[in-house]
Amino acid sequence: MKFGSSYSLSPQGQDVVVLRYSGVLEERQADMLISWAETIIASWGLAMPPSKKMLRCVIEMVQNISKHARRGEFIVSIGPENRVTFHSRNNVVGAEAEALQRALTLAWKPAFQELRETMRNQRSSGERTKSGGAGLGLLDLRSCADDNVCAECIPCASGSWTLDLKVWFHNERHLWKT
Amino acid sequence: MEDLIIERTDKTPFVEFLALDCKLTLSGRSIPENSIQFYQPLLDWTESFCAAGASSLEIHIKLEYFNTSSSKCLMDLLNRVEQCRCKAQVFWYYETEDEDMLEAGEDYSAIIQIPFVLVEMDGTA
Repeated sequence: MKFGSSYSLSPQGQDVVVLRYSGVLEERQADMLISWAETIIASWGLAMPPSKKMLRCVIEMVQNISKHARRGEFIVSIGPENRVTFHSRNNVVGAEAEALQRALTLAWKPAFQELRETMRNQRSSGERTKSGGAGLGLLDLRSCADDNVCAECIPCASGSWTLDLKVWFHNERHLWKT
Repeated sequence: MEDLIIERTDKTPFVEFLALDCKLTLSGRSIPENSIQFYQPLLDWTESFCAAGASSLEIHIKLEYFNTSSSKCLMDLLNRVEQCRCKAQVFWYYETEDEDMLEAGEDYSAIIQIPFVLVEMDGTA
């Protein structure tokens, strides 16, 4: 887990961007991006658990933008040793920024080992967010990516904020079929 | 009571609620952006089904993916069934390698006081 620290998308300039979208990101664009990402992930020939976990992350990240910001950026890249990174970025304004800060704090409160129980509790008795979300998105990203998640809420000059979210998967656990 | 049939789409599951058979089947993907809107008819139907004095309900859930918003809606649906006086049973299907879907089934069964049967499916079949 990395919260508030800086994790560059291309720490050594070796990441290859395989999908990048920037602009209006409403439901139609979200569907298209998810479909493209699914095709790309399928082409890597991964075993089922990691490929499904990756797509789950893509769905949560892309739908988060289309639901809250309707405009943003989404990138899929591959780095050294087949490290896959999903990166999303979108503006957050007004009251949503405060809600987001609270959500980020809550999402990083439980230790990784406590995630499953936390998610179970949130699913059964947690309140929905104002936008109708389940309040589980960030927890699910942490769970899917073995805690390889970096979320930063960056203040902008205009008084708005930018949510910068990165999720990455390593090849350490034989993600790729040989 | 009329059956409730909703055809599958790229983002929403096939829904088959058969009143006479007392059987609900959900299969496919559940990743709609507005899951509350999609699941509301199911919740309403369940409410009516229970109010009509149903004696039993068999629920078959064969989901490939579901987003976190849908996971909450599934919980709402199972909660409604739990509150119903009928004798209910959930069959939760997961593919052999799909550890996440198995865990999800285990998690629901730990919360909901309805008998769960976790059904392993061979993905190659």
